[in-house]
Amino acid sequence: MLTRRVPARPLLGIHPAIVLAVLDFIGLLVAGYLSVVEAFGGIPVCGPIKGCEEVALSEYARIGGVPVAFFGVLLSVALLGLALAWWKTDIYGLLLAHYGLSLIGVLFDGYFLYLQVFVIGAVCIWCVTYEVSLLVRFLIAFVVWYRQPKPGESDEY
Amino acid sequence: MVLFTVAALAIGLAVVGYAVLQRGGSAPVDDLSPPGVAIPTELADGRTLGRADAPVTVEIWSDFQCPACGLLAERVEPSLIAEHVTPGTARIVYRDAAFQGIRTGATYDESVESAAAARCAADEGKFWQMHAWIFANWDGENQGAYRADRLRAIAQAAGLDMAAYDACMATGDKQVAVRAETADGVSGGINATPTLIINGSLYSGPLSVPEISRAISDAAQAAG
Repeated sequence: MLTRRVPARPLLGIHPAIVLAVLDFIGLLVAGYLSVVEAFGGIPVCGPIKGCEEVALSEYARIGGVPVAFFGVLLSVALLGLALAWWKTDIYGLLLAHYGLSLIGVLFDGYFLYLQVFVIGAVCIWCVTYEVSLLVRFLIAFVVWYRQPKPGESDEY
Repeated sequence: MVLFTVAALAIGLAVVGYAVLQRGGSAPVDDLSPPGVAIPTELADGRTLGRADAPVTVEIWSDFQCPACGLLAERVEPSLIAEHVTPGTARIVYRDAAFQGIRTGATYDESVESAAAARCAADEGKFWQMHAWIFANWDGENQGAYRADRLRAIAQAAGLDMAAYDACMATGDKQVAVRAETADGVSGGINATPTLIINGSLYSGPLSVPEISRAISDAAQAAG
C-alpha cells in the first residue's frame, strides 16, 4: 500500500509537495544558520528580541553533546528529501513518512518551547521560527493526507 | 495513517524522554570540561589582564552564572586579548556583578560563591585560570553547577593550592567583598550582565567582537 502511486490533489493550485518542500527549505535555512553560528562559536543575531544567547548557552541546547540545531538540519534535510521524492513519484508512503517525521519533530519542538518559556526563561526567535514552520508543515501534511485519495481508491495509478 | 501516527508519537516521546533523561541529575564533580581559551597569564595581575600603562581600560562587570557572560568570556574575550590586550592597547579588569543567585533566596548563592572562589584564586595569582575553568563548567543557573564540592573540584582542576583555597573560602571575606562590589556596581548603574565600561563609557547587553573592538580603538584614539 505504501509504495503505491496516488496522484496528489493540488494545494493552492500546485502539487502540495512543493509547498512542503518550500517550508522544509525555510526550516533548513534557519537550522543551518544556527548550526553554522554554533560551529564557529558565534552568537545568533536576535535583533531587538533578546534571548538567543541564553538559549544557546543553556544546558538544554545540546543533546548528548550535539547541538539541537544540528538535529534540526538533519530533520529538515530528511523532510525536504521526502517532499521532493513525493513530488516526483507520487508514492503515497512518502507523504505518510513526511507526516510521521514532522510529528516527531513537533513533539520535540513542543518540549523545547516549554523549556525556553518555563525553564530557561528566554525565547530564541530563530528556534520559535523553526518550531512554527515545523508545526505548519505537520498540519499541511495532515490536511493533504486527509484530502488525498487513499491507495485502492479511484485515483490510484 | 493511524499506525503512522502512533509510531511517530511513540518515537517522538522516546526522543523527548531521552532528552529529559540525559539532563537528569545535577552537574557531576568528576566530569569537568577544560577551558577552550588560552590566557596570556604573564599579563595577569590579580583580576586585571594587560599592561598597567595600556591607554584603554575595559572593565567587565560579570556574573559567573550569567550565560551571556559565559559567551563573552569564551567567544569574545579571546579575540579582545589577541587584538588589544597582548599588543598593549587595552587591559581588562574583571568586576563582580553577582546578581543571578539572589533571586533564589537560597543561603548558598552560586553567583557569590563562584566569584569568591575566583577571588581566592586571584590571591594565588591564578584568577584568569580559575575564570576560564569556572565558565567552561557553567551548567545552568542556580542548579548546582557551582555548589561547594564542584567549585572545589574546579579549583583543583585550575591548579590552585587546595589548603589555601579551603582556608580562603572558609573565612567568608571574599563573599563579603563580592557582595560589596556588586552593590557598588548597582549603585553605579550596573543593572545587567555583562556590562563593559571602556574608559568610562558604558556598554551593556550582548556585544560582538567588532563592536567592542571599535569602542576600544575609539577610546585609544581619544586617549591620544
